[in-house]
Amino acid sequence: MNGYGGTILRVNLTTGKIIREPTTPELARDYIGGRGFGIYFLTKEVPIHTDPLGPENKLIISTGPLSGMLAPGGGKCDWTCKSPLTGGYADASMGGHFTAEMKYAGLDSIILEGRSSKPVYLFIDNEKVELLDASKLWGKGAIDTEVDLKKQYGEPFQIAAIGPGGENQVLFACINHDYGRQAGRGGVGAVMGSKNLKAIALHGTGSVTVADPDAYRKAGMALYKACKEADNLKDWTRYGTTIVVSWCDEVGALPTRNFTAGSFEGGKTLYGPVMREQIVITDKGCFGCPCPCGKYSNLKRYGTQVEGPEYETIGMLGSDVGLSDIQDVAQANLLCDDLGIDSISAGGCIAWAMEAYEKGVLSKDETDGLDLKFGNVDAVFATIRKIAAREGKLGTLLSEGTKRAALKIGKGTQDYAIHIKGMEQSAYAIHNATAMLISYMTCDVGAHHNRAWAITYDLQVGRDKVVPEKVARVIWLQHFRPMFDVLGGCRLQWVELGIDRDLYVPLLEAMTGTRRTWEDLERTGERIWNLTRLYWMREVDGFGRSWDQPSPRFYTEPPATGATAGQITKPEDVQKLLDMYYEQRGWDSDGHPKHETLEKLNLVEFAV
Amino acid sequence: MTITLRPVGHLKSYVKGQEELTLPAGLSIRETLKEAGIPPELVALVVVNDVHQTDKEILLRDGDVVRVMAVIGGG
Amino acid sequence: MRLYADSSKCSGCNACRVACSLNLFGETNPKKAALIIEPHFPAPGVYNVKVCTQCGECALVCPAECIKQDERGVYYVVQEDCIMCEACVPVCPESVMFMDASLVPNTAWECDLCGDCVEVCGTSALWIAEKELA
Repeated sequence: MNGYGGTILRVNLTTGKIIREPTTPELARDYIGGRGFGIYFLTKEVPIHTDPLGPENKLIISTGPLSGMLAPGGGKCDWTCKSPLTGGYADASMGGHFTAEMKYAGLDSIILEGRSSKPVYLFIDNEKVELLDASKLWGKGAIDTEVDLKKQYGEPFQIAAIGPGGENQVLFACINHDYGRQAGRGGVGAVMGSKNLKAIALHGTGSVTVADPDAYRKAGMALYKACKEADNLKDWTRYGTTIVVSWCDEVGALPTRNFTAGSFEGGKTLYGPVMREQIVITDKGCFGCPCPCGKYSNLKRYGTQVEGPEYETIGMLGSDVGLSDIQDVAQANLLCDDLGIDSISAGGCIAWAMEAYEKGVLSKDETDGLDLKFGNVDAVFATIRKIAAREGKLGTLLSEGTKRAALKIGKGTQDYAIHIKGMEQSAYAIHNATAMLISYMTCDVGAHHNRAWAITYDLQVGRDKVVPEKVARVIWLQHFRPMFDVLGGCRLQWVELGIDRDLYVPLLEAMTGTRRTWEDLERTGERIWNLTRLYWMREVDGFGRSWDQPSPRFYTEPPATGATAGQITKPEDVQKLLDMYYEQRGWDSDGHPKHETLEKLNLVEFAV
Repeated sequence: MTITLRPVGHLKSYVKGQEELTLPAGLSIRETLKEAGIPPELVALVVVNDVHQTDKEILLRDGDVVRVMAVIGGG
Repeated sequence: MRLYADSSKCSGCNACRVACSLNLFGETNPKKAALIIEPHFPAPGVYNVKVCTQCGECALVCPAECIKQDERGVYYVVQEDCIMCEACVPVCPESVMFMDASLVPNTAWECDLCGDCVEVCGTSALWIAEKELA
């Protein structure tokens, strides 16, 4: 099948059986790839109310048409499963070179099923697929695991590995690849660990066929030309996402001390230019990307190297926990990567614990003797280690995420567990930014910004305005942006360089033989959006409006300092935004898709 | 005494598509942007003579070349 | 004329190698490219790019005389005449002369200076210029 790998690989870790199935034209036609394949297999094959850490959950890794091709940003694969952190839908997009290698090995999806009785790793070399003993790797950090496997099999092998965090099934454990890229959020690493799968070693030497080779080359080269001619290419490449640290601080979007404010007085030493000067050595990018956002850094203070930190980690393990030295934040980043836990959720959990400790709600006994104050670097490092090891009272408490931790401790700590649907909020403070607020509230994995980023839009329209246009914009972004996760590519070439997205249309047609405009693609995006919503509804009893609520901090506690001092969203506006959102989506007042909406989208067979 | 302002990408829509504007020197970056009709809070990146400036209060001097960018798509 | 690479600008993206395989074989497969990217991670954390310097050692040693020069003086392999003897591979000072029967069953291959890699390199790590005099 043109533009595709051609095969779905099923790996049953319980029986050791490995099955190859052809990717069907119908699957490609209706779900395209990536996140689309993920929600299809998740919905169809994982039984209702499955224990996310049990053998019946599946971890589905999918490439898309752009993966591995002559396409800027053809370097992302999608990891989908039922989330142990939230109990609902999870997917994580992983960059690097894994997705390209999957394509060359002829694979569109790898479906990991069951559970191995002992630690194994999955070895894939073209058509040779084996489950091999991982007892020598179990217990190692993700980085050493990658070093070892590359030493054993050679540099051309692409490695994805969990660290101790995944082995210990920390609910927000991640999966690492290429010394610095992750399938980060929702606990995908815990699911891999629950299957006793330590790593995947992958090698493929095949070529990918396309429908029209001349048109494909022409369209691919045109996309590269557009990227190279973007007038902010050099600025973006210099800083990656750290380009916005200073601006977020300025406009009150930088999460500070557990989101109590949006500006950080210690922020200046975290800004992009300071980081570039102090630690960055290489601009490191994913497969096919002309604007590498990765900033590989050398930390003299610690004698270590790390890819990062990027904006999110600077926010969550910097300003949000009160750290102002970029080397300390980078080292915290490294610890999370190597031990294998999501840096965003880790920061969110630590910040919550710091606030509880400073308020006297968590005692020193409950923090295992750590003086867990905002700004205490050693306490941050120690807590990350404890979480990954599920060690001590603190590690055990925080390894479950802030929602469960706050439920356990009580005493008002739930008021400042900053999460939505059980996922710790990513690094944008939203005390007064109503488009970003509804984006976070309705994101289909929990409080993540990936689906719809609308901060500049909030400033342009008026931050506190509650108008249908804002909701319409967020809905459009939710259909459009995740299509890159479906296509097996990256959204940042459009998002950051502002290239004309219509340049992708002839490329996709030349590759697959199917013409799709962005209108067509967004229609698939809308179908997928409703599918993930239906998945939540069937998995979580009582799922609906109450699960779309933000942390009360964002409608009851105006910051005392910073750019948004004294500003806060009105509680009634939070509900008004949600009412508008449901109405525009064709959902009822509890946030369930109406029957006519499912009919319109051809999703009636999936109705809950 | 003047400076050259080069709005990048989307910010050009605030200055009728102009690639380059000449504005009086001696104002802060913030005041210069207001002068040009560009809302300062939208500007995420300011580069003055190839150096990234994060403080919008610094004063611009005669001959400075200033590139400004907004982050439309985000992260 | 030859290709030059500034490794300090390389981000490891491999777009150059995709463009190269497309040019040489009409296929999307960076393993069939005529330039190499060596990652050195986790330390020191850099990429090393190796390209054909158009030195001509491969042509000198080829017993089938199937490595020729075009009108620009650029070396290229006449694919149908290659006898797969592999004499050219070890003499290449950059280790970018290839022969891999599992990948390409009928020929050795090398850079023919098409320039597509330069066009797709987003960090401007590659460029074509006159050979510097020894």
